[in-house]
Amino acid sequence: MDCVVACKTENNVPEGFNRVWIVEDVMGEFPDLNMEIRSERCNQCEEAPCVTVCPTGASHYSDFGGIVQIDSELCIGCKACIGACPYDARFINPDGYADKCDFCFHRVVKGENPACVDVCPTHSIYFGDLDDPNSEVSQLLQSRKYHVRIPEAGTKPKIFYLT
Amino acid sequence: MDELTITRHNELIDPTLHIWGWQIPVYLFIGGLVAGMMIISGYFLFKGRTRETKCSCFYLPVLSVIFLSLGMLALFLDLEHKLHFWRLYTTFKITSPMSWGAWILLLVYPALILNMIIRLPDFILERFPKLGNLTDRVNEHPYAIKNIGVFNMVLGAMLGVYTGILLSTLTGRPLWNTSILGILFLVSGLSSAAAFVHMIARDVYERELLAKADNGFLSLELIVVAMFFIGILTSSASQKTAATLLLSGPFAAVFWVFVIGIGMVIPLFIQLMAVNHKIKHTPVAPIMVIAGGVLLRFVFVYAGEYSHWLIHAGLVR
Repeated sequence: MDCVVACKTENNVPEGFNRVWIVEDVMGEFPDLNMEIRSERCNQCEEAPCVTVCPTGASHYSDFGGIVQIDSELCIGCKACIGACPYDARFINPDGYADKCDFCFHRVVKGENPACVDVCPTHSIYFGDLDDPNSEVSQLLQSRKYHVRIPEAGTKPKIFYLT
Repeated sequence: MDELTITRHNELIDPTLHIWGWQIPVYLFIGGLVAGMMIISGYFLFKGRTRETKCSCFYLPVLSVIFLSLGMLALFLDLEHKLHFWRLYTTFKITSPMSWGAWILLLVYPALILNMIIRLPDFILERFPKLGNLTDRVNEHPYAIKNIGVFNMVLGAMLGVYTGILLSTLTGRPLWNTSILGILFLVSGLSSAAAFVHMIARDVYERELLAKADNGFLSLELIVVAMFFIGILTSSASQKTAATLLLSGPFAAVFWVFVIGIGMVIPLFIQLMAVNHKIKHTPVAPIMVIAGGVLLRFVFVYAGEYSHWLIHAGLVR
């Protein structure tokens, strides 16, 4: 849960809300059970439905890294993006605008990792440039098996769970 | 078996999505109703019924402006960042139905005002008698009136379809992922509008015509509902499971008894008998149709919010 706490402190996430959360996924029939524990957040989709439906352009892809971001000044709080997201990654900030994980954009532009990545005590979260074939994350995806969440929704998520 | 335990509990999102309360279903209903009224009024203008002093095309635009403004008030009440609403009009996003809707609504008002000018309501004429000149000018050109009728019909159709497409484009909710919702909400809006105008029309010919038209709209609506189920039940596992919300799940009772039974089938029978002069025309059937139209929006909005990609066979959420 360190990623959850680090996210809340780093981004001043309002009380009662989460940008990062933990999912325990238990699969199979007793006694043949499998459990996967995931740290989940906005999947930073390549074809993000939240960006598609946003009427004002408040939800947009950042020029740097293609991160899905929200411009709170443009957001009218219509909640279409929340309905559009298959991952339920968004919520309405008590100040009225849509809010979600932005990969700690303020840290990433300085070349740092998102807070959740740096605090993970078991170093199980990796972060990097998928466009660079030599980056650590690209190498991991080439050498390891992985899955993404709800690929059938067709959003091309960019969070990969190594198995 | 696949069981998820999630530590997140965000307001409006968990345990099941509930981003929209009464405001959005009410707005979607009013949008559909006004769309239907614009098409009916536009049709009467196109057919040259402005010669009839009791033509409903003279007061429908006034009612439309009032209803639509109330609907937009509901829409405004739903916004979480209310003072930023004007941002809708600083851009146009072609992939966003809300953006389309905002601009369609901006065109709907001039269309209604043009329709009003053909015969201005007395309360406006008393205050601004000079506007009467405009009325005289327009009435000198029968083709101008026909064109205003077409303009109203086209914008009405766009308004009605957009209220359904608004839901269709929200990828995250499998129940909504079909653009037939646009047609369903348009036809439902037409049937509600026909029922409403039938109730208030002062012209006997119009009342009879609209009762017949409403029977057509209700029959068409039943076909569109069937097509909705055919589409969604032959789609992916998530869509099939979403359909069970209406077929056998928590929304099945209200959907089949109130939306389909009381809102479509029973009034269709009553009005079929009425137009065949077996029974008298009463407001009973129209009121049932309108109530069914309201509930259709509530059921589709709430059931859609409840539907989720992760709820399908073998996965408990």
